[in-house]
Amino acid sequence: MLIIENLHAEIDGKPILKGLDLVVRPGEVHAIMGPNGSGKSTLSYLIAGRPGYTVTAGSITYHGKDLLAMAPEERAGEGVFLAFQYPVEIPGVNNVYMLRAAVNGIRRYRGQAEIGAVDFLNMVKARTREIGLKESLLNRPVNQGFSGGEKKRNEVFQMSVLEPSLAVLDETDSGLDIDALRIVAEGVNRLRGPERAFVVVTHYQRLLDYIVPDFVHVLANGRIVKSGTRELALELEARGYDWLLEDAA
Amino acid sequence: MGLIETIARALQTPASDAPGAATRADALAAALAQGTPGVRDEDWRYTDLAATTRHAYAPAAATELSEALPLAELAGPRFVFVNGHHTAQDLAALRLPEGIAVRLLADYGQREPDWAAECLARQAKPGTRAFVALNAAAAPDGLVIDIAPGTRMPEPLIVIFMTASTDAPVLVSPHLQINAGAHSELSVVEVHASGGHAPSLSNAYTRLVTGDGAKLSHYRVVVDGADGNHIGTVEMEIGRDSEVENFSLALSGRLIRVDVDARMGAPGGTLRLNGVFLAGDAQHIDHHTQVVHAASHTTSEEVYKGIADGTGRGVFNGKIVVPAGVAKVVANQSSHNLLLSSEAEIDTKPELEINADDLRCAHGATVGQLDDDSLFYLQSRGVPAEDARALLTFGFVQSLVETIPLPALQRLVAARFATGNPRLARLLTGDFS
Repeated sequence: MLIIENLHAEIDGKPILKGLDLVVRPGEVHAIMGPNGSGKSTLSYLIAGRPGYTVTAGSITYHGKDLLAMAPEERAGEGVFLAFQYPVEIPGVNNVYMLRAAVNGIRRYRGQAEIGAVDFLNMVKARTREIGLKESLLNRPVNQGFSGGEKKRNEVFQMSVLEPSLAVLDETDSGLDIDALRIVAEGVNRLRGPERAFVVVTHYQRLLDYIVPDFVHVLANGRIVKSGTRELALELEARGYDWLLEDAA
Repeated sequence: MGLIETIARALQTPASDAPGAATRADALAAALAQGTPGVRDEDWRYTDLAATTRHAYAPAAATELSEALPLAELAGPRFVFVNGHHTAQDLAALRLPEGIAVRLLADYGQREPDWAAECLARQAKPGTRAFVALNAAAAPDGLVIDIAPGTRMPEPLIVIFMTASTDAPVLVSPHLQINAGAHSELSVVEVHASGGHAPSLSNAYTRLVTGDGAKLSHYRVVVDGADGNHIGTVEMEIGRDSEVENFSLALSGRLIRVDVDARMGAPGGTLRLNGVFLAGDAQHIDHHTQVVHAASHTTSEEVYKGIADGTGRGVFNGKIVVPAGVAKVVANQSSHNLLLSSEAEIDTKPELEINADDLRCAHGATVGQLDDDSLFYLQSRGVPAEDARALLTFGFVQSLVETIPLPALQRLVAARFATGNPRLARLLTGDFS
C-alpha cells in the first residue's frame, strides 16, 4: 500500500534523506529505529505532508497514488495519519470541533455524507473510554494544558476516531511512563487489522514490547541500513547503533 | 471644518428646556475649544477622521425601531435606547431587583435640573476631551444606575444603544453612568449597534465607579453596520480592594475608536482590561487604553487581541501610568495581533509613564500570521486548509473570549466570525457540551 522509492529530501538546502526505500503492505507493522538526527522525523513529516521539505528525488506512492503531490488533508482523506512527536497546542480551538471538522473533511473528500452531531458525539465518547482519555479533555482547547501523557493519549484517541489505513507514530513513546505507554499501545493494538498498517518511529526498543512489529528497519544517515524482524530491535538494544553506523559510513 | 465643528453647528439650537441646559452649553464650548483631533495629535496619529467628517451628521430623533435587537436570548434587566432615547415609558415596568436605582437624564433630570447638571458637569470642564464634552452637549437622554452597597446582581444589566436606520447621516450620543456601591457585585453588558444604510456616528460616554470591595464586570460590544462609525469613551474609577473587568469587543463598523481610561485611586484594586477587535475589509478599529496606578498595591492585567483582514486596519495603544511615590504596583500588558491579508495593517504600541521603581511591569506585543505548525496539525487530521484557517482565526480570539462567563456573548462573537464564512458557520454549529 505504501511504497517509498529512492527518497531524497532536504530542508534549507541540507540533505536529510538520501535514497530511502520502504514497502509497507496492509496489516503490517513496521518499526523505524535509528539514532537522533538520522531522518526519522523527516520521514514521518514527508509521509504526512509537512511543508518546508524539498524532495529532490524519489517518490512516495500510496495505494498507487502520488502522495507527494497531495495536500496534507488530502493524504488524510486517503487514510494517512501522523501521531506527532510534539502535538501542537491550539488555544481557542476545541478538541471536539477540530475532530468533527476533520471527520467531515475526510468524509467529504471521500464523497460521503457528513456525520450528524449526535452520532459523532456518541462515537467520540466511546473512543475516549477505550483510550482512557478523560472526557473533560474533549471540550478543552486542543492539547492546551494537557500533560505530556495526555497529549500522546490524545493523538492515539484522534487516530481511533479517524480510523486511518496507515498510521505513522512519531516517537509516540517519548515522555510516557510505563502505564501510559501500555494504554497507548493497547489503543494501537486495538486498531490493528488486515487492512491497516503502522509505521512506528521510535528511538527505543521498549515500545516494541507492547506494539510487536513485523519488521524493524534501522535508519541512519538518511537511508535504511538494515532491515530485519523483531529480533533486530533486541539486538540494537543490546549493541547500540554504532556497529551499523560504521557500516553505513 | 472638522467633525466637532460640524456637529456643533447642527446642535446650535439646543432646546433651552433640556435638562442641564447651561452645563450642556459649557460642554459644547469645551468641545469646540479642543476642536476635532487630527492625525497630528499623537493620540490620533493612526485614526484619520477626515472620511467620517464628510457627512453632515445631525442629532437623531426618537423613533420606532424596525431592526431586531442583539443578544435577545441574554437574560437580565434590559434597557434599550434607540437613537439615544430610552424606549420604555415606565422604568417601574422593568421590575428591577432590589438595591438598584435607575434614573434617566431626560426624565428624572427634567424634574431635578440640578441633578442633571451635576451628572454632566464632569464632561463640561474646560480641557475635557472633545468627544467626551460633545457627548454631554448632545446626549438627549442618559442612564444613571446606582447599585446599593452589598447588592449582588444575579443577572447582568443589559444596556443596548441602537441607531435606527435612516436616510440621512445621524448622530447618536449614548450616555451611561454606573455607580457600584461598596461590596456590590454586578456585571454589565453594554451594546452599541447600528444597521442603517446611511452613515451614522455614535459618540458614546460610559462612566463606571466602584466602591470599596465592589466587583464589576463590564462587557462593551460594538456591532455597527457597514456605514456605522463609533467613538466611545469609558472612564473607570476603581475603589479600594475593588475588582473590575472591562472587556471591549469591537466586532464590526466602518470606524471604531474606543478610549478606555481607568484610574486606580485606592490600594488593593485589581483591573482586568481585555479587548478583542476584528477589522474586516475597509474597517478601522482603534483602541486607546490608559491605566493610572494612582495608589500603591494596585494591579492591572491587560490582554488585547486583534485581527485585520482585507484592507482592515487595527490600532492598539496601551498606556500605563505609575506616578512617583506609588509602590507595589503590578502592571502587565500584552497585545497580540493577526494579519490575514497583505493589505491589512495593525499598529500596536505600549506607552509607559513610570516614575516609581517598586513595581512589576511587563508588556509585549506581536503582529503575525496564523501559525504554520497549527495549520499543518489540523490539515494532517483531514481538516481542509480553508476550514483550518477559519478555525485558527476564530481560536485566536476565542482563547480570550472564552473567559466571558456569558454564553450568549460568546455566541455573538462566534456569529460575527461566521458571518460571510459559511464554512466556519457550519464548523461552529452544534453544541457539544
